[in-house]
Amino acid sequence: MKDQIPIDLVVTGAKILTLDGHFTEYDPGVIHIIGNRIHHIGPDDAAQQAVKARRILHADGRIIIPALFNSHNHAGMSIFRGLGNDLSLDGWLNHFIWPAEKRFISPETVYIGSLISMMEMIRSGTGTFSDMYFFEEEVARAADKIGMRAILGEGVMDFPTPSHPDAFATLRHTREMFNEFQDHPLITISVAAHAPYTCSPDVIRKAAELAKELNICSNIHLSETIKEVETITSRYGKSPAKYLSDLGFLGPQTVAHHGLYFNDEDLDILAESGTTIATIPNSNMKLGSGSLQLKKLTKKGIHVSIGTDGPASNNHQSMIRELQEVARVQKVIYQDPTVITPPELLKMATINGAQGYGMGQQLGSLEVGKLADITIIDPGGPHWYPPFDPYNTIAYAMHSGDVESVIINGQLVMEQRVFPNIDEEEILDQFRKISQQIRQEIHQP
Amino acid sequence: MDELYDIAITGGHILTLDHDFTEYDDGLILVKNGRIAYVGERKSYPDEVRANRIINATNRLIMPTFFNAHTHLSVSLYRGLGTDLRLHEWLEQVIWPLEKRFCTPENVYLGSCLSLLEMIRSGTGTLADMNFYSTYAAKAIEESGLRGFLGEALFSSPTPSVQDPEDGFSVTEGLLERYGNHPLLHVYLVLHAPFTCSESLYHQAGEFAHHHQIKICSHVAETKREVDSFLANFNRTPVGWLQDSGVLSPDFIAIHGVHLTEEDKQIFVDKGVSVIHNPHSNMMLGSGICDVPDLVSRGIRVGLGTDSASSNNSLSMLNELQTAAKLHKMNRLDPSVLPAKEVILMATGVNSAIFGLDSTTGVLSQGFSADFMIIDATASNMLPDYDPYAQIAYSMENENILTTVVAGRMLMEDRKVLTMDEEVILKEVKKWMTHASVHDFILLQK
Repeated sequence: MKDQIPIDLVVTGAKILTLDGHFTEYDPGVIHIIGNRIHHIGPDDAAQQAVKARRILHADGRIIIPALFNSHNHAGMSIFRGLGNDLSLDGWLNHFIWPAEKRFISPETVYIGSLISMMEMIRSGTGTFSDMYFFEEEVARAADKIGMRAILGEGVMDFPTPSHPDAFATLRHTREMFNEFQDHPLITISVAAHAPYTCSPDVIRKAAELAKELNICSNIHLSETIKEVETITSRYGKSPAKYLSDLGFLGPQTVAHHGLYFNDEDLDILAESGTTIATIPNSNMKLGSGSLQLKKLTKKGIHVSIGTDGPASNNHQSMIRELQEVARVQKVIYQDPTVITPPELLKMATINGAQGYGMGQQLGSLEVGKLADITIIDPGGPHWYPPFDPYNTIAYAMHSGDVESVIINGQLVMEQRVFPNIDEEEILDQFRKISQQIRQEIHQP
Repeated sequence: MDELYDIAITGGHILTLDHDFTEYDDGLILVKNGRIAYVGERKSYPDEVRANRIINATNRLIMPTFFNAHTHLSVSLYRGLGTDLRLHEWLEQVIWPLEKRFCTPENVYLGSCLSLLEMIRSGTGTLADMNFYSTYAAKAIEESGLRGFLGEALFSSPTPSVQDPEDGFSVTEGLLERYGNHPLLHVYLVLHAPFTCSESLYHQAGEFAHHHQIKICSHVAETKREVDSFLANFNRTPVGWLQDSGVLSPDFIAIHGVHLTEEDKQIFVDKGVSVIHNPHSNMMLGSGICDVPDLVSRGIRVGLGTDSASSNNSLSMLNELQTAAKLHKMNRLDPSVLPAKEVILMATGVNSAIFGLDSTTGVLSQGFSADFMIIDATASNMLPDYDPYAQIAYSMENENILTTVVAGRMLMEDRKVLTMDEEVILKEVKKWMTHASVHDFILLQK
């Protein structure tokens, strides 16, 4: 046998849905991981018996998919989940979230709140999330601790945030974080402008310039509500998408969240710029914002990915439930069940997100050379039966709790639903202390 | 000597879902002979707690089990076949041919067992079934320990189980004879739909139900196609047509009600008809959205069901109510419609009222049946605990449901189903699926 690089981890016996360009499947299949990358993927045949590895994970009867990619979150907001339900976006932000953030958001609460969110995300099969919040260096610390991949953007707004006095200080901080985390294996820094209605033209322009200069991805909330479109139109005489486009913010490494209200010109702008739209149906539904019109976007060739939004507006962070809701919402608004199929949905929840953030070569499918971010599912529950088609079950019937183990960057960050890198009880205790304090000070209506 | 109870649940935050939404922070539930003998704060109970089984539920959330007001238990065998089709294509090209070939007493029993397993694991305590060979579904429900409404689906044409609708009435009579006094099983009359049942069949069914004093239900106005064809053929909507048949009454339960006119809604109000909303199925089949807030504002009772595992494709009432909570906010562009508490009632007490069981189940109160679930409220996805109703309606996952009790019997404890052999049932389903004829049949369909 010729000299071989030692294999760190071999996963055997599972049905593998690679989600590559041909939807290749191996049943049973095997994955060899060296360091943080997939070194080999293929059928789990007799030749595999002789393979030596530091660790062999037997996943017989399991289903393996690429770890899911959550295109939009505000992970630190878990400390506010359950405050101010059944309110409009405007009322919820003005009366609950912004006052609560002013009072309670600190490096410590962001760290603990983000860890709680990451536990929930990993438990439902997510490997990477894009975050827009405050004290993002604390989110980085949390992601590093638990072992999760994260794209982090400090929220840029015209007015003072809990972490910075103004937008320009936030952008300086973004640059510092970029320098600090440039070589971090799990952390990618992004420019995260909050929204057209909270960022002046000067701020949007500077944000776009920074993203270009550093060659990093950017993201923003866009056309989330009718009110936003009206506000921007009356303020600038153009749509929110045109406003961003004119300031140079949109592009192939830009992800715009929500995107419910676009005119034809907007669609052309988005298509030409290569901007990705992250759809978040549960948040749009819960806040009464409306629904994405998928056909309009895909007809123009606009990429659509999926996010969960923050835990305080959704109120969950399961990409499984989110992709299931994407399917149902699109089928019902068009009164057409053929509008989306399970394989397309799974791509939206994986590779489309990775591509939107310029990471499509590294993530989003299980292929040799790509990063080893893998979700292992236990299809043993009655809702998986009869097991005709795993894509179908994932898209329409699977529970978040069916996720058994998750590998991120070659490391088992959750094994049999246990997190080896953190002390779960201690984090839950710290989180409870924070939420008890918030409960004492804030009264529900 | 203090009384000895069957089960005591000590500690835990109890949501009674009674009229005042009474809660007990550190609660106690005592169960005797299948009923709730005591529910309240633990510290208010004067005596020492004595029970054959004491369950410590500290840090847990306890609420009534869900009531799934509409399902077809056996159809779970076809889950995953022919999805992404419209209702009528799905019925005509997939479901009816499958049923013609595979709907046998054994398969009805097997599919029902599969569905019941999933229901127990997602917190359902009561269900209303529409099936063929319903005596075999009844057998499965009885074994599972759930509370159930049994219904033999009537069509004007032959069904897999009966050649003639008259035989369907006979089956229903047989069910009444056999289960009339059963503590957990109830019988109701179910007609498939206006597009498969004649006006005279509805008329006869109305009289039958009235005579036996049982509830009667039917799919109604599920798709635009159904309504359009009635307007074209009868110059009436399906609801107007049903009214003319004389079947509508406060005992009539209309399933779906997606496409209703102003007149239809007024007829429902005048006749006291209830509606069962099945959002996932209506979304999956592209049928449309039942305007629940509008119906409720008119005083129509609207309950909630999952429909079948092959049109949903999930039987989790938890996920169903979570979608219901959000769908109408989106549809109305108004986040204040169907608040969390209201939608939780749709999945519990409202359904009990619609089916006439509101003095039995749906509320945790003394004298009610001991039907409740114990929820893990400490999991990361459930935190923080500012508002338990919002936790349930928006954040909770099926796996947070640890234990379910129906009529004082533990159906699942710590995620292990106690009343059915899960391993054997799943093995049988797999065997059925890999049976050569199923494979050939599926290939033929493609």
